Amino acid sequence: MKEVTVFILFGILILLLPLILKSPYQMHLIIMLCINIILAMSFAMLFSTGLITIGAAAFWAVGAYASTLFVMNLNISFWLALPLASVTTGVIALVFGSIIVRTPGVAFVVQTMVINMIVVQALGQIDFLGGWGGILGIPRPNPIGPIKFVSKTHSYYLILFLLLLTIVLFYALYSSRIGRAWRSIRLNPRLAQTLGINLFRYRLLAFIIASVSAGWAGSFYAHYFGTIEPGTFSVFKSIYIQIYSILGGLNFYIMGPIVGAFIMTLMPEFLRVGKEIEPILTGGILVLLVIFLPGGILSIPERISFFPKMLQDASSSSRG
Amino acid sequence: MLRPVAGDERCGLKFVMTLLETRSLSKYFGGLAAISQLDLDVCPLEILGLIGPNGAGKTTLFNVLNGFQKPNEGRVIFKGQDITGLKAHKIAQLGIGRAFQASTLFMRLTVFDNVFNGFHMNYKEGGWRSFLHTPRARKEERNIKQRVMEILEFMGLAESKDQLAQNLPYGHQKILGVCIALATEPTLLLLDEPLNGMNPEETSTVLDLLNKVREKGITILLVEHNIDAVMRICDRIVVLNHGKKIAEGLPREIGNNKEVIDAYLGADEEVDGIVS
Amino acid sequence: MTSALFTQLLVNGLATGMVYVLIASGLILVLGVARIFNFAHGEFYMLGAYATFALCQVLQVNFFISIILSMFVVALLAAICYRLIFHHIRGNLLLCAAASMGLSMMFERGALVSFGTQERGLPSVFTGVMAIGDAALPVEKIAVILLCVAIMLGLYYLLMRTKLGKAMRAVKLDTEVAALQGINTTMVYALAMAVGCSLAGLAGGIIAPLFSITPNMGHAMLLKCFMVLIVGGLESMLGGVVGGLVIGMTLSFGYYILGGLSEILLFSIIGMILVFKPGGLFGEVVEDV
Repeated sequence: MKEVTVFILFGILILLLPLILKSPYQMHLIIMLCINIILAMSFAMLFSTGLITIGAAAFWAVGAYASTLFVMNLNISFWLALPLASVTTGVIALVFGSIIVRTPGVAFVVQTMVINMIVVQALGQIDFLGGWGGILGIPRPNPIGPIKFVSKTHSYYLILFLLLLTIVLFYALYSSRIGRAWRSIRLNPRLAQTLGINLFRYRLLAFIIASVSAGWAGSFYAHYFGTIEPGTFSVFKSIYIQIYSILGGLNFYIMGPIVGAFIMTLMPEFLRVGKEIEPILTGGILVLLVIFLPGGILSIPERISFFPKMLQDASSSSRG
Repeated sequence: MLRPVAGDERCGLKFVMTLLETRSLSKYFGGLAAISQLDLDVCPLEILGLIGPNGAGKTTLFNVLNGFQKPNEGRVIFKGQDITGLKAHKIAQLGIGRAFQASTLFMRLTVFDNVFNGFHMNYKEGGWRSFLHTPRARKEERNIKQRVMEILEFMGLAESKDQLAQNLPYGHQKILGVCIALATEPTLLLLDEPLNGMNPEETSTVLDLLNKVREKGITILLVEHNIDAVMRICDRIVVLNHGKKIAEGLPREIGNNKEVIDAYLGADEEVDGIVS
Repeated sequence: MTSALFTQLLVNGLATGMVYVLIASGLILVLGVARIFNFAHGEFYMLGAYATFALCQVLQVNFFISIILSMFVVALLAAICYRLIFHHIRGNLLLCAAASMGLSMMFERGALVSFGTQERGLPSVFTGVMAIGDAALPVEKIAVILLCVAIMLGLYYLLMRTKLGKAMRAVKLDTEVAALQGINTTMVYALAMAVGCSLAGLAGGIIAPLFSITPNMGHAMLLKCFMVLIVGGLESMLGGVVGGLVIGMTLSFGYYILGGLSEILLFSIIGMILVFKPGGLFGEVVEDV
């Protein structure tokens, strides 16, 4: 009962957030946090099949640019552009994924990085896509009745909705036969094969879904931020996306990204370190994390022996 | 596939359809032949033992039968269908299950979850419906959970169901491996040294279980070093050495076969009870 | 195309290519022997360049001695990193990737803070041109080629003829068996890391007079390195050599043919290899490590 109460209180907090936070800048942070959570979840989904990607930002870019082009060049409503951009991202993910999912392990990591770089280069070199300067003046989502999506509050509820949708979708997947297959692949690919699991197909499925979710996050981002440029979607961002997931906890495919993205997005605000030094700190924290707390923050309860009962919860848990 | 199976009175008919057969199967690594021109027949519902000194090619044979390796020459025919070169997951779907030599398990999952994952192939409400958690899908999931418990009880692991696989004693881990393989509802079960590291009491228990498994309609192909156990439980035995079949027949015939004895003594093997 | 032009492009491609070969070989060595995925490999290259710069320009040490000294500095740093960090997470791809990314960030920013954003450079040690046939070839490029070839030959000797090399090859083949044979595997891993990163550091020193030295030069180089790995495969030194030369040549000739679009040619080649030979020209598709 206590847990449900906590959930409800938390839910109310989230819904009423715009009333609590007055400053637009703070709302902006929260909005970026929601985007980062989706991106981190995308990384985590691939990781749930044992694949490590440092190219998530590339699909974030595809979604953003596709949506922008649909709205600005084809005069489509944002509400149609969002799903279309998602489908576009899915198709591109299918193409790239079919090629690189065949080689898991180090080869895959290397390939995702190169793909990310290729995408960024392509976006920068092609003038039609705005070149290195990017595209400015991207319109807001088309109004629904009185809701104009100009204020941060409206944007917040939109991204919150997308985030919750993503969470529900992912949770449904993880707790289904598909999610179990993914976990089997991650824990022991050999054994998984003897259980009739087609490694390629399931990994490709994860790749596509993960990329599509990054895609709709991109579509939202473009129309919220108003500007997109290739530099935002670099490998650097992909690495940060990975850090969100690791910091939170790699074995928690939904809570991990939430915790990790939360800390990483909001912490710089509290630490007030120079922008130049910040990566040194992040890098240092990452190294320490890997050595001393590889399971991430959410693995701390496990390490304290008070909590063993909490761990032996229902058999089909969505962890591990 | 209708082959005379020499000396096998148990099959009743002299002509019996083999469940699995290999014809002139060969697998080379570099220049070395791990298996060479191997002809093997497995009768339905038998327990066939595969023995031989280390390096005789037994694990390679399993890897080929499983689909983890492609043979260089020869064919593998299962239930009348040529399965040579098929991928591992396809072969699993066709009904060949495997329990491994080393503890190949989902170490960080519980015993229950390990076996539960084993049911992957045996869903009717898989894919979309499972994702949507339709009432039928959820019902099937409850049903599968029940079947998991049945297997665990059958094999004697029910009490450990919430233990993490990595925390089990080695003997139980091996049994868990067999449980997972049983969850795939195989027609043919490849067991790679299931008795490895077990004391006589555990060995007896497992041998009884193997008989019960066979009674459920599952054919067993067994690789083992415990010759004594092999003599007790197998209907027929095949002996490999250097990738070739050097003997085949009933346990008592193999026990007296000079070539077999030479192969084992010559290979400096420490073997239980080959010389009777 | 005249033969003179061809020769120039060839030498250009060889020079660039050999540098890639050197660095990629280091990465492959670390990957194969120590089973560590080192995302900070490019930063060792960068540090080698800066160390050579600091010794040569600031302390007025002879260029060649600077290169050798910075090699030792880089090797020492790599060994320390191994002992403090990688030793505990060896073999775990994600943890190595994450840790080395953290290192990469620290090194890059550290260099930025220490040396500033302005590009540094060393005056060329080899000046002038020499003539081969019709072509006028810059001596420094020839020097780069010769230096890199010499180092690769040294590497070959190390791997094939010395005890350490044999130990490394044994460990690469089968760690357990190597340990059973009495090889101190920890030592081998640390040394493999030291040697591998030194190769990158050496490359940094060698090109210091040719290219500008910036804190983020490691990133661009790592990318090229990864491309070499895609083309040549992750497993073998031969793959590294072939991959590096292919990339170097593609960039050189491609720049002449297509100008700024030479990268498209590069991407196409990489794309084709990914589609038709996913493990690289000399590699195999291997299931998870």
